[in-house]
Order: sequence, then C-alpha cells, then structure tokens
Amino acid sequence: MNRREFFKKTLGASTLLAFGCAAPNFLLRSAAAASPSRRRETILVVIQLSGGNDGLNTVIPYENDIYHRRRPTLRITPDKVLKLGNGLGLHPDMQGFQRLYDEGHLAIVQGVGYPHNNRNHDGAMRDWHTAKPKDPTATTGWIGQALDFYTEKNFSTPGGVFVGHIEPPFALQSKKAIVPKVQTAGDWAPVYHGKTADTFAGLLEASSQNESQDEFLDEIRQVTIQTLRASKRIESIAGLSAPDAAVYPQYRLAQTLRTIAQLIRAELGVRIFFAELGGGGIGGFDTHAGQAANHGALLRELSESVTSFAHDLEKDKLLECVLLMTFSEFGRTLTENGRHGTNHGSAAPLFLVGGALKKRLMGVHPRLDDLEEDAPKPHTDFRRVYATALENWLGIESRLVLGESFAPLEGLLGSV
Amino acid sequence: MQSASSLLRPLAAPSKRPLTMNKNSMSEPDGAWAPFKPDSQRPWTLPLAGHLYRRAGFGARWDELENAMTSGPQAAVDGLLNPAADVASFDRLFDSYSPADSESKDTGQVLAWWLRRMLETPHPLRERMTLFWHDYFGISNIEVENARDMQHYIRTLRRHALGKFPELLSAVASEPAMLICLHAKASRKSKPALQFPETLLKQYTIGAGHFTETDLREAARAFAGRYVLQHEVKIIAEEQDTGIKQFLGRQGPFGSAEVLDILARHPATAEKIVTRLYRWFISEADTPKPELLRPLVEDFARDFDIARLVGIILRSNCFFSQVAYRRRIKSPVEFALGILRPLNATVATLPLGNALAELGQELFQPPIATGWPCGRHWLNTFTMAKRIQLAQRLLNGGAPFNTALDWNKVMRQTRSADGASHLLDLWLQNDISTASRQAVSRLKTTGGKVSRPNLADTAAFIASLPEFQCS
Repeated sequence: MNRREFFKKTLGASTLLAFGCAAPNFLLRSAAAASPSRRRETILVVIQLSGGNDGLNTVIPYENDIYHRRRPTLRITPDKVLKLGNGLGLHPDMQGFQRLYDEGHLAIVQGVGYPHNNRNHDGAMRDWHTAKPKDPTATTGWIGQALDFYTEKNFSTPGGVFVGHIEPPFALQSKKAIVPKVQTAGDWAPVYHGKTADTFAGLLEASSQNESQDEFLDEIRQVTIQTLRASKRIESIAGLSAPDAAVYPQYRLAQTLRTIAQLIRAELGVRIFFAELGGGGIGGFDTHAGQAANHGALLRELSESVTSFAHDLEKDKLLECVLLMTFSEFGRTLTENGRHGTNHGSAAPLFLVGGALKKRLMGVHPRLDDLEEDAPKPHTDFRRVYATALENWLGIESRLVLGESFAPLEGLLGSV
Repeated sequence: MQSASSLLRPLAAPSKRPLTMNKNSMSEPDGAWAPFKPDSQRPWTLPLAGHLYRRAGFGARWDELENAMTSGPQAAVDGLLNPAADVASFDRLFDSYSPADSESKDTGQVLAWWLRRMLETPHPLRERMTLFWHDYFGISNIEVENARDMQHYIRTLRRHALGKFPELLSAVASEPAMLICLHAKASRKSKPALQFPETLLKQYTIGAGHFTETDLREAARAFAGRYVLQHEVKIIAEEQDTGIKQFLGRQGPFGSAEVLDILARHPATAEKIVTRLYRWFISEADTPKPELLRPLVEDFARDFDIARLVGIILRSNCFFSQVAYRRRIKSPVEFALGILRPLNATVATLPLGNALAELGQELFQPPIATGWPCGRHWLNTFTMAKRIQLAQRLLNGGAPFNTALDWNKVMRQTRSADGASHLLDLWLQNDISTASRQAVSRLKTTGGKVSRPNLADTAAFIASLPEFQCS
C-alpha cells in the first residue's frame, strides 16, 4: 500500500493529498514517520476577536443603499472601501488583508453564526467555545476536545498552545490534554541559562539514556530528551530575532503571531495555536459608542499582524501548512445607535488565511432587507467552519468533537 | 533490618534493585495485601522508606528516613496514620485563616495557605488524602467562582479525609461549592436538579451500569428542596418531595440523607474508591485485576473506614513491591513539594500556586468531574521544561519564590562527603541509573573554563533527573 492508498483507506477521502504538507492526521503518525521525505504537519491558528466584531464595517456591502441609510455616521463610503469585487469591500484599515486576498491567501466566509444567538457576550462566547450552543453545561471546549484526541496518540507533545496575555479562553478547556500558555517563546525555552547551560543540558540528556528494561521510566527519559531538543530548537530560532524584527509591526497581536511563527519553525509538533485580539483593551470589539476610531485601530492591528505573519511564513514555504481563522462571538446591528456605535448582532464574516485555500469567497453577503432584530441573519453555521478546520485540515473526525455532523465548507481547502 | 548507622554510610556504590517481587506472596490477592514483613529475601531498605514517604506524604525528611529505618515499615505507617506531633494546634493556626474578601473569585490566597500547609503539616498523609478527595470529587472554581466556598469545601474534605466514607459523602454533598458546581443551587420539587444526582451516582458512587433512569429521577426527587443561600445549603420544606421513592431496589419516603447513605454503602462504591486508591497509592502503570482488589473491596465494604483501608494498602506486600515502586509519576504538587519538604525549605506559596498551574495542575480547578488525568499526561515537552526551570528557580532562591533554605543545616544531617551524594540519598535514596550517577559525578568534577556549579544548581539537576519524576 503506498502513501496515497493508505490515506484513502484510512480517511475515506483524498481531501488531504492536495497539500504539500504532511499527513494532517495524528492518527497516521506511523505512516508519516515511515515516509522517507520529512514533511510538515498541518497547523491551525485561531484568533479570537473579543467583543463582537462589526462584520458590516469589516466586509462592507458598499453598493447597498440600506447599509448607507442605516449608518449615517459610521458608513464607509465607496471611495474609501478596499474593493474586492462583487460589491464587497474591506474596511480601509485592512490593506494587508486586501493584499492577501489578491494573493489568494485570504478567504472570507460570509454570514456565519447560529440560530438563537442570545447576543450576550458570555453566553455567545461560551457557545463558540464549546461549539454546543444547546448544551450550557458542556465542560470542554471544541479545541480542548480535539487536543484530547491528540494527547491520546502522543503524550509527549502539547497538541495546542495558547499564546497571549489573557486567561486562556474556554475553547481550550480539555479533559486530559495540558494546554500550555505562553507569551513569548522564552516562556518555553531554554531550560538552562548562562555559561553552564550546555553542560547541564548535555548531562541531563546523558542521564536520560534508556538503560533498564523499564518501559515506565524509559518513557520519562524519552520525554526528557525530547524536551531538551525542543528547547534547543526554540532557543536557536527565537534567537534569530534580527532578520524578522523588521517584518513584524509593534502591535501586541503581531508579537503574538511572531511567537507562534517561531514555535512553528521549531517543529514542536503543536497543531493548534490560539491567540486573541481585543480582550486586553477597553471594550475591544464591543463598539457601542465611538466605534469608528476603535474599530479601525483593531482591524488595522488584525490585518497588519496577520499579513506579516503570512508573509513571514511564506518565506520558508510554511504558509501552505498553516490555516489561520478568526472568529467573534457575534456580529453587530445594522442600525447605528445614537452614540456612533452599534449593538450586539448575529451573523458576521470569518476570515481564513493560509497557503492552501482554494476559494476566496464563501457564501453570499447576508441580506440587509431581511433582518432579525436589526441584525443580518446567519446562513452558515459556525460549526461548518469548525468542521472544515477539523476534518479537512487537521484530519480529526469532526463529529467526535462537535457532537453531531456538520458539512465542511465545500471546495475551500482543495477537496477535489 | 538495616541499622540507622549503616544507613548513614555514604552510598557510593549503586545499590542493587531495592526490592524484588516475592512471587509466592504476590500471586495470591491475600498475600498481596498482607502486611509487609521484611526478611532476608525482601529486606527493609532506604529506597522503600523513601517510597513510603513519597506516596503517603510529600517526601521524607532526613530524620524521618532515619527513624523509619530504625523502626521498620509497620511502625512508620503507624506514625503516618497517627502522627505523634501536635496536629491540633497546627490545625488551629492554619484554620484561623479566612480570605480577606469573602466574595472574591480568586482562590490564589486560599491555595497559598493550602500549599503552606502541605509544606509544614505534621500530618502529611491527611493532606495527601485531602488532595485525593479533591481529585476524586473534581469540584472546580471555574463554576463555583468563590474562594470562600472553595475553602470551606477543602476543609470538609480534610476533616473527613481519613474518616468514614458515608460521613464524607454526606458532608461533601452539602457543600455549597459542590451544588453550585453541579448546577443544583436551587432544586425545586416541580423541577429537581438533575446534574448533581447524575454525577453523584455516576462518578462519585456506584457508577454507570448500576442504576437506571428511574433510580436517577428518584434520587433527584429526594434532593429537591435543597438551596444554596448565602454560602449555606438550606432546606426549604415546601419544596421537598416527601413521597415514596423507588431507589436501587428499595422503597421508602427517602430524603437526601437516606439516598446518600444507600449510595455510600453500596458495594460498587467500595470498588470505585478502592480502584482510585490503587491508582493513587500503588500504580498508574497497570490496571489491576478485579481479583487483586477484591479483598480490599470486601474489607472496605464492612465499615467504609478510609483510614483503615489506606493503612492496609500502605502496609501491604503489594505496596512495598515492584508493582508499586516508582510506578506513578509525580503530580506537579508532588514534584514541587518533593523538592522542598525534605529540605525543610519554605517558599512564597502564592507564586508556587501559579507555577503549578503552568505545570498542568491548577488546584481548585480540576479539569473534569473525575479530577486530573494524571500519570503519563503530566509530562510533555512543555511541562517537562517547566519542571526543570522550576527546580532551578526554587532552589536558587530569589524572586518570586524567595526560598528560605539552610544548606548548612541540610549538610549537617549527613556524613556524606558532598552535597550531591546527600541529596541523592535524601530525595532518591541513591537509586538511580548508572548514566544518571555518572552525570551527577561529572557535574561534581566539572571545572576549568566553566565554573563549578554550586550546590543549588546541582540540586536542581538532580530534581530534573528522570528518576525524580517518579513517585
């Protein structure tokens, strides 16, 4: 059985073969290990936009009169939007995203949400985190559950890492997997500092050579050696700060993504990274008042940070192994309120960034003449996006994580 | 029995494997749980004494090892179950603490006190068992969001940690923290809370397969009328369901007390607890056969006396055999306390609590209703890096832990030629691989361009050895 046949047999689909990167499936580790050419595994990066991002001023239906009428002060005029065609334009602060879109590395999934979003921050965010809106007692997050599958196959590698300054969101809550939280690569490595670092590391590695017929102890020795080597790799990569310092802007999210890029390069076996934007500042994306400046600044931070990240990875041909997705707990109302802001809504667009995207636009812009409590209605369940990431990218049967079957978005990730 | 003076010899040569399985005594379950009586075939050794204090405490201090070697295993277990020290006055001191802000969600201070208690307690086995029950019941502050309720809950666990299980269960089932965590803050007659009885039956007592949907509904009825009001569980009489219930083959106007008692004394409950204790005290490396556990289960089901059960386990041939020796991985708490307590070191325990969370064990926040996954899950390339770093930071002093540690005093305890040898004896009873031993001795002789590592660095190195990660 060759590699292709093996995948076909195991996955029942050939969706993953289009990628240049490895078996996106930890269930197939043995196959990947057996493969002579060392290939990289697929990696998912999730960015949470905290507060409820105003989708209507992010991906803008600038040709729609209703939009302009209902947003007398907040509307972005056609001359300002960054036009994508089809009557859609990006917020003027998202030049980076426009560039990624033109390069084919950015996709927009429109009208994403779920029925009966209660438009309450905590409740809605919890739903996005658990992926089980009907079960308020769910005790794990969707990523945490995916990581639990991962850890059963590979104890020694943390399958997921939270990179950021806030408390790790509930999406990462797992039953078994320990999910590290780091702010910089330096939070992970090196294990030894200073002049004697190499001596200690060398001696600890020497102490960890398998000696007895003791499998229990040998596993601990093995993870000790892996730890020292991982630490070494992180150290050597994070130490190369000079070349890429210029590439990343000073935004916090950019620095977070720089850390993620370093950890990706260090080949630690981490499959899912989680980052956040908006939770640290005042209000974040929850733009009830004076929206224009705040929202623009956040979108600029998102766009420039992610664009630097994508271009950084592209240099080393790593972008094709990475899929980045954004999400927010809800969109916002169409009508601006009396304080130059918008209120909690429902549907919103998600962004996907990566080197393996086969489409740039998924779904139509939600209708503005058919609203639900003043907000666009979702037509694409957010769990279909999760299913796409799990099934078509990470190679995890999404039903096991989501509790029910959701159809992955067709054609987005090169399924043939 | 090895004498104390022979123990004090510097242990230069690698000891032979410290124990061998006596096939005859271990093949029969009764033999496995019979008290370990050292003989020439299976002598009482320093590694076995260290093993006892790692499992029943947080690692032995040097005087504890010395005393244990003189007194033998049975007396050492006696001392762990019933310490001679003044536990009552220690408790009074530590129980007087209450969080400054009783409505605070932040359990940091409460945890800092608990860690200090573990570090200094004259009754380490009781803290280990408090930790066991914290793991067993898995109540999390993520749901409770109140430091005072969590503190009260842990105190209840401690009070009954080595008591009778029915009393423990009854007390815990009336903890505000448990009812809040399991969404049973208000259980009305017309709509009794379901998650609490379900978790009680499934996870804490008899387990799936031993009850029907009807049993569950009837149990829920029996718990109706219980409300959490102002940090207390109150009974609202008019919301109680006083009707007849059919529960696990019995019938009566059962209330919460009767249902809890039936569950606590059920044979399946005894089996569940014994199985969990086997993992806690004996081994994470194997799944014990039911025949092996049967004598313990039957014995425990007689009176549900936790201390007696724990005593049998700790005294047993099985406990002092290859089946148990280094067949667990230290949890982060065991790892950090296992460094500090044997050295009589004190540290700032507030940052220690945060460090343990980084290592994967955030006390007061077990991930699920059955606690932490434990075992092999503790160690990955991140948490292992964090262990190695934590050992260095704890032992070198300075912020944030500000460790107070008197190396001179540590060294005065021993006749060992050097600090490294003594630490190997103290922490690992000198039972390490040839490769580890060579590495430690090369560390001692490292010189030249690289300055010779100080004792703290050497100590941190020893605490990073694969052998040290084992309990």
